[in-house]
Amino acid sequence: MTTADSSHERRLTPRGARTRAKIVDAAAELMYVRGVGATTLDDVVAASAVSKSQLYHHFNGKDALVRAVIDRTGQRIMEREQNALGRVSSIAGLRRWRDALIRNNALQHGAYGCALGSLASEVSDHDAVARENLTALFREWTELLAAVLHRLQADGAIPDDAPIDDLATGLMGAVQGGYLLAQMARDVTPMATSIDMAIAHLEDLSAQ
Amino acid sequence: MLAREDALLSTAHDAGALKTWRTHLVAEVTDPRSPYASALRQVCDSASCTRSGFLEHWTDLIAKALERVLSQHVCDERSSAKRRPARRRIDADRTAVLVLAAVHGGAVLSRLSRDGGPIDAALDLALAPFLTD
Repeated sequence: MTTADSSHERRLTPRGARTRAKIVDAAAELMYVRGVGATTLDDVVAASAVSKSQLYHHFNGKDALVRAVIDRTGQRIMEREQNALGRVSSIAGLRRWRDALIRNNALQHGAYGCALGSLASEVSDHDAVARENLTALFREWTELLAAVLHRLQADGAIPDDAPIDDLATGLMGAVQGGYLLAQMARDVTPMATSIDMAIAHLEDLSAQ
Repeated sequence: MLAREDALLSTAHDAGALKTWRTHLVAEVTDPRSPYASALRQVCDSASCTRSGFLEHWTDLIAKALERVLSQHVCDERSSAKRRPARRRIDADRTAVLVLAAVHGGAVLSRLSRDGGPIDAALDLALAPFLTD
């Protein structure tokens, strides 16, 4: 979140905070389904049942709203991933994490991709602040994966000399790419295959 | 872009050729002016069926190259005096899907961080069984 955004948010009354949250949640949902480019502020006004003046009271334009959507989406995903990965310390646990990702994505037949990945694809080229925030979020998510791999390494499931940070980044790449392939195929099978094979390659490290 | 991939992958028969292809791929994907970068940047739209066909073709090219490298590796192991521990049979088709995912996902992360590291790491993991002894 930018300094200006967080400062504005701290000055809100409880009612103002609820209105702001309603706008951000509606915008996040629209941008997830339709994409950032295809979502207008009028769409957000209609979906959140607020007035245009209320929206502009909280956000001075679309860029500011998109940054708030990134913050909210990032917060939601990091909570989910912290809960899912926080205690994983085995390959079996990693597979259960994979199962949950696939199950969630299968609910929409993979149609919309990763909420954070989709935002990254759309906005990172033209909003430096958004790109910085997204980079930090992906770094945080990758660090959760690295922590899992460190636990696997401590347990002997991964060799001591394995490059944990690179492996975690590679696994994140497989996940994000899997989301994209699922989105293009409207089918979660390629995402499942991608993550399965990445985990299998991790398992193979101990066999070498 | 597929023509270039076809030219490179159809002549890949060993780990060395695969490494060359991988190096070429990373250079193309991380160059914003490259047709590869442009192709990967296309968002999912109403042309998803066309895009799906493009991805199937690319996956097929990669899978066939991996299969050739695997066959060459099996021949090398049979003629080698060294004894190596038995390895899990690698599925070239499923690995090709991971490779394609690594390209796409790695490209998003590299573009985001303005750093070629993520796509390098993603492809290293995807191609690990083929590029290590």
